[in-house]
Amino acid sequence: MSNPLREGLEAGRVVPPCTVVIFGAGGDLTRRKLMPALYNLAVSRALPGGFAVVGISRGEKSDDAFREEMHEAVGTFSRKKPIDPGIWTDFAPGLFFQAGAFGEAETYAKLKERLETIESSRGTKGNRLFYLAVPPSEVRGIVEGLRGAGLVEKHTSISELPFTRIIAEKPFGHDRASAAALNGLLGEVFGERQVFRIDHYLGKETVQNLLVFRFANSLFEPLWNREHVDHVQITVAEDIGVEGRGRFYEQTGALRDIVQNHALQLLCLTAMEPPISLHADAVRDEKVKVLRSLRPLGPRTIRSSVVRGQYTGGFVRGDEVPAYRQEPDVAGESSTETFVAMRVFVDSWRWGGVPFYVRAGKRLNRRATEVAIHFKRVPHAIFPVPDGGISPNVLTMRIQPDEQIALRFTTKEPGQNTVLRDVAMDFRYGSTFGSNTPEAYERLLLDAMRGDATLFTRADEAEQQWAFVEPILAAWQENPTPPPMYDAGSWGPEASHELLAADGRRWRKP
Amino acid sequence: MSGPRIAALLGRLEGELRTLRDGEKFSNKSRISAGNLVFVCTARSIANRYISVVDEMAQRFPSRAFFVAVEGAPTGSRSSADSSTRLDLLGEGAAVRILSAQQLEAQDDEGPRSMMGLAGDSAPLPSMENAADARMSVDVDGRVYAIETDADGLSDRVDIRGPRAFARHLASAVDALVLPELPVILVWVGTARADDGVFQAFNDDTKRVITDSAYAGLDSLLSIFQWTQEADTRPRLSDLAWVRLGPWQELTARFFDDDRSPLLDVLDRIEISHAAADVGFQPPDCALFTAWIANRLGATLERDSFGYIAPQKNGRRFPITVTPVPRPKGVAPGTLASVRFLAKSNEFTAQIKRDLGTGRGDQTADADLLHWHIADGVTVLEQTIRLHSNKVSYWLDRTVRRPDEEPLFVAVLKTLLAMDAAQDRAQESLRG
Ligand SMILES: NC(=O)c1ccc[n+]([C@@H]2O[C@H](COP(=O)([O-])OP(=O)(O)OC[C@H]3O[C@@H](n4cnc5c(N)ncnc54)[C@H](OP(=O)(O)O)[C@@H]3O)[C@@H](O)[C@H]2O)c1
Repeated sequence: MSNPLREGLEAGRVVPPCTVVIFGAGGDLTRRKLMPALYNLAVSRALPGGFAVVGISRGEKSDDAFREEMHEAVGTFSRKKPIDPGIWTDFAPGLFFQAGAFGEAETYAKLKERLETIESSRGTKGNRLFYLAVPPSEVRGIVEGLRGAGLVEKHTSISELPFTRIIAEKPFGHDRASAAALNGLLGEVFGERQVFRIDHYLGKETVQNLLVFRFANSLFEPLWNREHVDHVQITVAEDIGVEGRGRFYEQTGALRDIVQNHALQLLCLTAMEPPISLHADAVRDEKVKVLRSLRPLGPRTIRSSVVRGQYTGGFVRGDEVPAYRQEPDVAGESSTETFVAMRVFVDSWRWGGVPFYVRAGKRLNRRATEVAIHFKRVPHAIFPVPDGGISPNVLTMRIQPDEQIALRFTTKEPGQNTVLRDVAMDFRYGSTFGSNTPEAYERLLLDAMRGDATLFTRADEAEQQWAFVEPILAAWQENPTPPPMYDAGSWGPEASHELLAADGRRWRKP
Repeated sequence: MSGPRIAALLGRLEGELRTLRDGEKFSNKSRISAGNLVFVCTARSIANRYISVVDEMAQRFPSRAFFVAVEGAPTGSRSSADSSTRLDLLGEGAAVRILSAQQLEAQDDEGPRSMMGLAGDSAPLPSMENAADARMSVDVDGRVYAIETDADGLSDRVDIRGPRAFARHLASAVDALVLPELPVILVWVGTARADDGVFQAFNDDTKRVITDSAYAGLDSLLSIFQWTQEADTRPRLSDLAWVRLGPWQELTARFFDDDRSPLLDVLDRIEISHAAADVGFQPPDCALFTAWIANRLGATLERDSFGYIAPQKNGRRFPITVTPVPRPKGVAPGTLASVRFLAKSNEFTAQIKRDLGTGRGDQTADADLLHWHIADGVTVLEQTIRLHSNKVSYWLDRTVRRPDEEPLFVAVLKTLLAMDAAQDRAQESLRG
């Protein structure tokens, strides 16, 4: 029965009441991202009236001790600081903790009981959002535990109430087979519409803005094709190293950690056709089409189109930093790649023959994530210009460190002579709309509560992403020679520059 | 006479605006703006204090802001003590800093939120020979300030001040300085009437006008609304009192979520209370809230001695009582204090009660606490919620980011107009 008083109220605020259950509440993700995001949602009054969080991990502690820990975490990592005591006083009583090991049935039986009590005291109406902030090894145990305790009901529609949804963190599998197995497991217990696979890049404002920019302006879309675009460069560069996560990184590497998910998502949003609507499936259908049209990489193309690298010691932002192999928990002879660059083709009517150059790595010169569209040169030069002619226009969508759109174009310098000059016009997102740009996790948590999966990865999408990178992983495995080295603080190995030089192009310096 | 002087002033302001962003201090600031905000203030008593609201708004919303102080009372206007108390309070106990231009300049080096006064000498104009009122101070003056936005951008503020008789000149000066291509949003500070020449002078080319009926009163709101509806070319209307009702509406809607909406067909009574106001002042919060409920239930509204009656389509007529409660110090007269819904022969009660004055601007940036409570004879649900921010700039910012026209708001104002029209007709027929 619909509520007539709801009609016409400010949109976007109808978040159903719910309990968020965080598995892995003692972990880093909860401290750094999840709890600060939930708190900031409380600050902006975006949380529903009936709301609670139940944190689960090993080690007994009281609800109050958990609230105290979370207070400290939010104080350190929140976007809005300092903590507003008034808001915290309202927010904290909704936080609960339960100790338990994920492999034990007892954990879920206790959880079920606890949830029922909390649901009646907090008015959360039986809606449950399970957040898996745990290492991939724990996922199976949790999903089976939830099923065993009867905590999940399989739904086929997003509007069934009370809802049960699950958010899965990256990494989503380590190859296609494991991703498919994970999808299979989730699919036994949950309907696809109940599953939200996070790629937090999609929660970032500029990434969403890529869609708005392309499909809400009539200026750019006519140019967004092989007629006008010379090539596209996608960069996901970090200046940090493995930051104590050597063991994890040894098994992961840059291709799995960044390229398979984040970089391919950026590529999809850049290359996709206009979706018919913003509905989750309309957008994801188009992204999957791009993934399917990526030209498959065979052994020979991998040799000529994919470059890997590993950093040696060097200088980053004025500090001397160790080589990857000297990081804790990293093998002395490790051949794990900390850098990948590749040339990719989207075999479609729109993009036929336009190379997409993608690179990602750690300990690079600076932190920068961006998509740069390089347009073609003017066909005929009427202006006398030295050094190689007029530079082509470049449109850059910058995602990190700050969200920004820049357009490079050529103008005349004021004066008696015609002297051409390249200028960059910047549109800094934050400065234009105020600093209240939410963190990716805020948007994504809210979307999951609302049941909007547009910014989450669908099952087939995750598998397609693996399908594309898998031949590269296989080729590297067959050829265990260590990757070429690059100095920390540089822009990657020489081979990466040669990859573009072979096509008569150069990497941008973001 | 005044023409060349205004032209000289404009020339200076244009020059200052051009060079405002030069120099090292602001060279790295983003230069993108999202609109023109024109604040027109006709009440001297609050002009100085409103400047800080303008600046906070310009910090949140990269824009060119104009602060136009029109001096001198409109002929025949009602400037009762009551309306000035309301104006003094500026919102839900808003924290308004009083900053003069000199103080702003003195803040020059106070870090990112500092504002820089770049004004040269002010250019007072000689007396206007044919000024309507000889007592009026007849100088027109202008100044330009840079305001850093919250996120590394730069807004600017142009202050223009002059007598009422010069309103058209002032409006045309603003016109000359607005950023092209971007919408002009007029924020009317204080009472306004659609037939006031000053109001019309500033509404030549505006996309949107924002009023605050909590201060200007319901009559003012309805008169402006009618005027905006007369032609498509007129600006669209938003009202801060309406936007501030948002959380109340949300919490009220929550009473009837899930399976409880059938209760709306069997309401016995609604009770509304507000902070006491002077006799004759119709609290717009109560009227807007009441009209919203009536509109959503498909009912009409009739005025009654105790408040209103809402005849529903199903033939039921439930009363909506409106009663004043004592007004704590620092709370604006007419502020909504509680709403209570009774249904099923009073078995069901749902109530929102506000702790009036707990969110006073001199103590906190949060607005008052609300207690939300629902009881249906079996279960009781309760919650305590804070009513967002108590800053005027916060609500202005939210208003600006909402659509130019809200169908629901239009429908609610129409409900109120229909009630008045029906009442007029009834009186007419009594007399006839
Ligand atoms: N950290 C980030 O910023 C980040 C960013 C993106 C994605 N992710 C992903 O998010 C997931 C979680 O990351 P994280 O950094 O938060 O990991 P973490 O710091 O290792 O935390 C894992 C949590 O799970 C708990 N846990 C693990 N096994 C358990 C078991 N068998 N029974 C009960 N509790 C168990 C741990 O409890 P104990 O404390 O008792 O060990 C800990 O609270 C990973 O998949 C990661 O890839 C993390």
